[in-house]
Amino acid sequence: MDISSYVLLSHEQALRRRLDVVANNMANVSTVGFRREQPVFHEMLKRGEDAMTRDARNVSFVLDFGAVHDTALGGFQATGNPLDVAIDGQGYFAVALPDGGTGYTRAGQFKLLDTGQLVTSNGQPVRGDSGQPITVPPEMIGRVTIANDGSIMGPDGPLGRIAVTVFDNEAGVTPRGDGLMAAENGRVLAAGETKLRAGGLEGSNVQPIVETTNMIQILRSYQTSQRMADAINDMRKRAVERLGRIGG
Amino acid sequence: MRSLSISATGMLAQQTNVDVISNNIANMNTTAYKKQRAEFQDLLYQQVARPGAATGGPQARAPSGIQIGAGVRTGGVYRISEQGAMTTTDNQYDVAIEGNGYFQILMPSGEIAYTRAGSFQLSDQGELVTADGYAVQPGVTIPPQATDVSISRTGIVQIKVAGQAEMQDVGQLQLATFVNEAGLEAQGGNLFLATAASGQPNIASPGDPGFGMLRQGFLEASNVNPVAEITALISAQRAYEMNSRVVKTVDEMLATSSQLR
Repeated sequence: MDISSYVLLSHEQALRRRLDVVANNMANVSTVGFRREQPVFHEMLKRGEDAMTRDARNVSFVLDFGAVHDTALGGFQATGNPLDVAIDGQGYFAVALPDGGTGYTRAGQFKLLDTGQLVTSNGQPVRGDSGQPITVPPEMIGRVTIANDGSIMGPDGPLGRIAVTVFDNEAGVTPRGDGLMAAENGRVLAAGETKLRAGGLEGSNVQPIVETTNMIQILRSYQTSQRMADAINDMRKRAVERLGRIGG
Repeated sequence: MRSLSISATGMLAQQTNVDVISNNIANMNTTAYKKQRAEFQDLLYQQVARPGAATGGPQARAPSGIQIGAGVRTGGVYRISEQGAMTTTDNQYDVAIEGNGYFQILMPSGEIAYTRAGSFQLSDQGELVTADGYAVQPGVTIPPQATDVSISRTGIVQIKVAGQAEMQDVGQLQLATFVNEAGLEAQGGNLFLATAASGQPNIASPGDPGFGMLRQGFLEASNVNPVAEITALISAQRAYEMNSRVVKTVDEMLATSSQLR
């Protein structure tokens, strides 16, 4: 095996990972608040000092360096549910996790528990702008609406405000499954900056056409790469045969 | 190839989606039916550690790892309790609820079930019962000599008896509301049962704060919007096809690998 086979192998492994990411995007095409992932590729240079010519001293491998999520907004899907909210613009809802930490999500399918607490569809409390959970008194159930600045409006005035947290470094926001993201150092938007839309949800921002073309590209690159490996293999076989004849 | 199982979860999710949509379409003409929506969530992400990934200098954008999602799962199927349209029937025992609340129905098992389908009839005893013959709670009995029955917006049931000018009160219908309506468990037959998730019912007369009003001679239609359901059905079908395309692609890639000499 010379170096070219290893280069091709690194390419093929990266392509397989890329397809895994595409498959996950496709699988989540109907997931509310889902943000598509995009793998980031890097050239990884290895210096081979023992190469014969100077040009061949640098070998570049492919490295799938990481994944960033696409922050484009998904489409607004009207549901008519007063407790369904979509964020207009960047940011995440903050959710209290069972271990006391905070998770972030863009899926605004909220409901009220029998205690009157505002929770996500997984039953995790939604944090208000002071970090506290929001509770609606039982006699006001069915009469609350969510205003555009995130305030929960009861018949006698606001009962709390849903926090929208933004991150300067979106790349540090990493998906954890269940629609939740983990992130650090967020900033809660003030009421004047918060823009929510109640009565609907944000669809996933996966564009099936884009993913399909990506997939075709991955498939063809993979096949090309394998054919090249085949050709290299052929060459090596012929070289061995030739050398055998010269030696004989 | 992880992609195979990832796209399988995608196909399964869309199957559930189509099941829910077809149930909505099937119940388009069911009195007071509330449409349902399947809700999806992404599965756990596998953190593939990348040794050497951080050697590329200070990277501002890329995180130091790659996360590969494992697909999608159905997080739940939830009911959208939008008000359905009022359809007039002119039947004096048809009562629609405008706003929040459920009628309470006494089941043969002694449990109380809840419904918004107010297409009532009279039993042989003159009791107000549902189409299945279950009595409404609190019970209302219409005496045989009644010539006319009126149910007010606030649930007062009055009858007119021949030879008497005054209407007589014979009962008061009440409504139950729940803190978390989505937590009610559907029983079929338009009936729901209270669960730990829905909480205990709050019972009051129609028209009290937070409770809906009644309308005699009307029924609440289902809140299924056929156009919305058909578009949802089309996108579910397409999403299913997309995921099956991924399966095909993986298959071709594996075929390429296996044809190597």
